[in-house]
Amino acid sequence: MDFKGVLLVAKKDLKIEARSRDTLSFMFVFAFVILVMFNFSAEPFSESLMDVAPGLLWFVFIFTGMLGLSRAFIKEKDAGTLEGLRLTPLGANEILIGKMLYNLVLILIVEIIALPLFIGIFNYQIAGSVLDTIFVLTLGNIGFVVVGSFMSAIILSSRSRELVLQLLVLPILVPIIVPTILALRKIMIYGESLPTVLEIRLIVAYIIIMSTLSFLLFSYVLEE
Amino acid sequence: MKIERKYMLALIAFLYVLMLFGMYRALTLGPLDPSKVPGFPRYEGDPMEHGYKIFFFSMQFGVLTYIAFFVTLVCSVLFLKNRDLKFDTIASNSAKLALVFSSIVLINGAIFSNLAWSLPGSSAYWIWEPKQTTTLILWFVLVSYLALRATVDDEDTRARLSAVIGIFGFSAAPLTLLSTIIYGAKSMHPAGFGQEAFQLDPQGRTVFGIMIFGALILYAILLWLSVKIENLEKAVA
Repeated sequence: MDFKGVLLVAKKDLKIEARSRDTLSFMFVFAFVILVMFNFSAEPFSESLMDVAPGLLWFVFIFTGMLGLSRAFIKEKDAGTLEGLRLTPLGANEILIGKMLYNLVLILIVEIIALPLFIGIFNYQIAGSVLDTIFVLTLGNIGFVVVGSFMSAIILSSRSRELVLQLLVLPILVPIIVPTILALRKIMIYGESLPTVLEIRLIVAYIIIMSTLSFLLFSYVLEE
Repeated sequence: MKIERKYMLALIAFLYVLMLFGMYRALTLGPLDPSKVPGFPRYEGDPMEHGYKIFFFSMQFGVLTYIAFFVTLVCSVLFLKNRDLKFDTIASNSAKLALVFSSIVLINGAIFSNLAWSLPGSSAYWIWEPKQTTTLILWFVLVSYLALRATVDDEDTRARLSAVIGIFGFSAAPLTLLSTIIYGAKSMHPAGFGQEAFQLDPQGRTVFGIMIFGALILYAILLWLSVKIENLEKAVA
């Protein structure tokens, strides 16, 4: 494993993103819009809205992340730089991990912005600690990024790329969506502390399984 | 070629008779024995008294779904190893059959669920029972597998990518079962989640065996035929 190469791939993408900001700005605005829209799903300040809020918060990241993830490899393909990436001495897995890192940084930035927005818009009192909430969100996002980055390379040859991506990612992601929402509910509504939230183990196990599968299979995805 | 067709017709005729016999036996089984099932009947005119027989028309398709998807998994691995499009044809057709079987088990399961767990005056077609939910997620995975295939034009790329999804997607099913159990949905199925197994009497067990056996033959015939049709289509095109 060539860690320098991994960092190079991630750094290259972040540099492009920092110059153009054409993904991150849309992700941010989209997260904002979706948060406001979710707020209309029930009466403001009502018990029922507070009850579903942790789930809605998590779906903000799923939807926003999908927007950013789909770009990671499509950008390369459209610019014709995917060939160049293949020609580098980097293996398929280094490219994949690099892309995962890039996606993770994007989604963490969105997380930093969207969480305070969520608390403000929903007028939400997090019962547990905010740090625990961030920890669970980040863990869930890692799992999402692992599956999402892998799938975003698969859809490159498909005619209806982004549409298929949603369909591919969401069912396979169910085992991480469910425990993450459950863990978020425990922390945000019932105020439990991190060691008592056992769902964390399931999320970590899932991340390990999915990343192993991704690394085993990615060389087949990238070959031409 | 001629002989092959003759054997095929004989097999289909045998299957036809076997399935008719199995269905007849299943429908003429006695009502549910209250002494074997604790807490039964739950109220006057409980529909489960005869309604439990849906089990014999639904369970084999659940088993077949997993078998068919497993065949897809094995053929996907074989394709990635050997790069023989023959395996891709088997994998995709098996996935199509798995989609059909899981649709059947979902519909039958919903009817069974309504009979078994609804109270008078209410309905319970969907109760988020772990196995029900898992089957639905499996159904989504199969749909996305086939959707990806439908939108990739190049034959070799399509085979390669769908093989990857076939392997990746297969992991979703057991994990979803795990997550839904943790989510708090109690399993109503007997298979080892701390629930008393629902015992079949010897007669019921015979019908069970006939139905499973018939379903396996049905799957083999359908897979064989669909692979053959696809090969013929390729030869003509």
